[in-house]
Amino acid sequence: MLGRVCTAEVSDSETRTIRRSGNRSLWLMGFPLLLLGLLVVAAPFLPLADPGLQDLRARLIPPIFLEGGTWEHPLGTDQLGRDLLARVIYGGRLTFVIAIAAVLVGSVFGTLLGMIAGYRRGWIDTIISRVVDAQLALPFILLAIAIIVSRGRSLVVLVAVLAIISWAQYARVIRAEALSLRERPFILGLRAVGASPIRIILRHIFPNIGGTVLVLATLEVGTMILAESALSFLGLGVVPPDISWGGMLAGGREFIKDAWWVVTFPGIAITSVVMSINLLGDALRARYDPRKRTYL
Amino acid sequence: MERRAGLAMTFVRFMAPKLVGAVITLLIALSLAFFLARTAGDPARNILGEFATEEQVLEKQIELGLDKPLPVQFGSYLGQLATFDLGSSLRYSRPNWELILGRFPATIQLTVAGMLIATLIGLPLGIVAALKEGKVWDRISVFVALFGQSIPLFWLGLMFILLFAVAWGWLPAGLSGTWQHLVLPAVTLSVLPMARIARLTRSSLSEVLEETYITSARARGLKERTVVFTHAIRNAALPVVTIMGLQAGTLLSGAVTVEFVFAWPGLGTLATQAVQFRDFSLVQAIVIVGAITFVVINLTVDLLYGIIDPRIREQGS
Amino acid sequence: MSTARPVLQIEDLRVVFSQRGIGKRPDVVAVDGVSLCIEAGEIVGLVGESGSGKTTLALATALLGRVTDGRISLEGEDIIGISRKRMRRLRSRIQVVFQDPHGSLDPRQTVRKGLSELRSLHPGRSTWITDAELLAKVGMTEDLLDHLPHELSGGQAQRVSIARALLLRPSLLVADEPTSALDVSVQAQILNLMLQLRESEKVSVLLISHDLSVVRNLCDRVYVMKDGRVVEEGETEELLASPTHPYTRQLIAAIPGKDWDRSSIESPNGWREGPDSP
Ligand SMILES: Nc1ncnc2c1ncn2[C@@H]1O[C@H](COP(=O)(O)OP(=O)(O)O)[C@@H](O)[C@H]1O
Ligand SMILES: [Mg+2]
Repeated sequence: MLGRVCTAEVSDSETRTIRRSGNRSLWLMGFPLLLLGLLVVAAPFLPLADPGLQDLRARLIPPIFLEGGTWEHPLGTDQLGRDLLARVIYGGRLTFVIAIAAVLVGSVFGTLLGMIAGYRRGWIDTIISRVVDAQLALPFILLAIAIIVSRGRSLVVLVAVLAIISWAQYARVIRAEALSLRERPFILGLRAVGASPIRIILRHIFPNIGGTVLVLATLEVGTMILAESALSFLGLGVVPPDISWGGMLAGGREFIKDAWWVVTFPGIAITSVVMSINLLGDALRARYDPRKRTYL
Repeated sequence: MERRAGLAMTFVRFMAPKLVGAVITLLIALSLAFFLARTAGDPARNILGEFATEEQVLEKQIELGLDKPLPVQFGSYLGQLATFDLGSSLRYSRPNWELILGRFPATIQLTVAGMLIATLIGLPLGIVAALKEGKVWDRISVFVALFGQSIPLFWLGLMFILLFAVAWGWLPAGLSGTWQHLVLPAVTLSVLPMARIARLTRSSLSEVLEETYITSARARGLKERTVVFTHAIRNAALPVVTIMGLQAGTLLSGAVTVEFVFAWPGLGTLATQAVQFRDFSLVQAIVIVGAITFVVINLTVDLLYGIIDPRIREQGS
Repeated sequence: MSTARPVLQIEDLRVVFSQRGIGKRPDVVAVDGVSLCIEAGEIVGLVGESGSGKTTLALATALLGRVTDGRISLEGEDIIGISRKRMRRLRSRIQVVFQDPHGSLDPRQTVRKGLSELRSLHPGRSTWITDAELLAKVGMTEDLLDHLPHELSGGQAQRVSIARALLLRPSLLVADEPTSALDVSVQAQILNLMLQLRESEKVSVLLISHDLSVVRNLCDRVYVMKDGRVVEEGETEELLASPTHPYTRQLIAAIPGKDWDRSSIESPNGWREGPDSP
């Protein structure tokens, strides 16, 4: 399965279309995310309500632009009377932390194993590739369910599960890149002067696939946000009172008939953030695509 | 007669390594699932909750066979797999395969419907986009691809319920029975594979269109339409079929949340219920069935691949 | 030259690539029983069409490729099946220059950083010369030290590759089609450089090419390879004047401007003259 052609995810024409908008798009895509990141980091210093504060008299207040909305709760309140605006922002905090932590862990392991498999080849490659294939053969939610059911829910388990889901993707892509790099004369030349495999992998292979890792990691943050929200929505992710976007959707689901806003805003947050991340990833890819630029 | 035997040989030669590979993949996947779920965790404690006494936990461990050393557990797990014994549900006290078999048709129905919708919309969208690069349809397809890959499916399902069931009352919000019940969950589930199919069709077709033989076919005076339908699409089909196979896993994962949203009585709902009741044994059985399903689908795709791609067919002879 | 032991001695080298997979395809015998010898200070040519096994032989010689069977010794020391530690020590004595000049340099490393990495790998062997002096030896100035490979021309990149090879004072330089990717005018310069270095650095060279005309201007002896075997060998002049194997004749026939060449070969030392001197 690994050998099949499925790397043609971005074609020349697509890159062209993306490139047409040029470098500008890199900033254009990055800026909203940067703003959002700042907002989320600065949340405690903003004039926001306490996201955990329950007020049963103020349950399911609609957002400001509907009848009955108040400035006190611009996006309305949820089933327990908690302020939705504050919860969306604080929820983003944890969502980001989880996704980024998972991507860091997953990318370090996946990139290392992918480089080792691609550079060393032989039995070690066979083993890593087989495990990657097998990992990708397990529907990720079922795998997550299996782990979480036996390990229990906690942030550490959640990050671990997400990292386990994501490392295989890195390993697959990076292995292919390392495989093609290892045949390049400069790597042969380094072996000819007795450079050790570790040195070659860390000092020469890695810098030359750094762009790919960056692109993958960016896109993977989006994937992890989606995965986290799905798990939290199923009650397998973040444990209340911690707030994440997926958890908010799970809570609001029962009240969908009476209060559409409770399930709408966190979903808008997820979709727009993941969309920006995907756009940024594509812009980065157009810039760093190794197939486009042979040298540098 | 001889030719047919030759073809059969070629086919066996093409499929045998794939079959072996699939079995190995499956074995590793199932071992992975076992070790990820068992090592360092204590399922018994988790099933009973934190207020259970030590004796209760011990009793549960014995009941589940968790008191034995890990290699022994793994041995009996493999033994179970070899005899197609999926164990019994802790909550329903019935064989897991019976429960799974009961829910399987609903999931198949949903995923097949989702895949059909995804293909029927995604494929033409990708083709039109590749033919009219930079035009309106191209932009639409790029947006659909981006959107489909960025939206949480279960949330899209909730929004569909909000609009089509709650606000307008056109379609039922959940459960199954009539075709109307199938519409919303199937459409929801189709969005992600649709996005990927559209994107990949667009890119692989525009790549093929640029290749020289297409140019030469054109130069021979063939009509544009003939070129597209006979040469280009046939060649662009390969990666698309591949991606369809790989979507099987995505589809199964998506089915879990989408079924949960629409209370669709399939495997996904069974899995989420099993989680709620901490039905460890049932969860494990569902994971096994999910992995087998994925591997079988991918084998089928490999087979299709061999049929579509003349290069692969000819390799053996 | 002296009558000391040969720099490189290859005996009955065989390299077989077995095709993996279940649908059993036949093995590829890339090098099929080749014996080859290079004396100190010699420049020896290895000529053959594409796919004849030249690169496979070069890689095996440089301890970079596989060896199925046979013996390779460097200055009398066997280099097949030795310990990693000895291999590491031996590596500096044999260096390779490849065809693709840009591909031979790490795209992300400046010339200076690349050289300092080499120095750190072989601290003992590399102190004899400064970066600037080293670049001067290959006809370059030190202002190129802080350039990245893509900022160099093909010829410059190839000079850097040669400089990197020289830094470790190898006894043998294996040059695998070092000029095939370069412009004609630059080709001549690089070949001349090899000739100079043989004199100034006392390095022996195995010069590989698919083109006999590249080899004949500077090699003392030539081996002709076809389908993994050496079909003919001899002093360059003799080989060109009276080839015995039909394949060699074919290669000679392919040399452009043959008539002029033949006269220049016959004049003493005339064939050694490079097309233009820097
Ligand atoms: N890694 C390899 N695996 C399989 N076959 C190879 C490999 N490397 C080279 N070959 C085969 O060995 C033969 C000789 O190749 P090579 O040494 O590159 O020839 P040359 O350098 O003379 O063009 C060719 O037929 C080539 O296909
Ligand atoms: Mg070669």
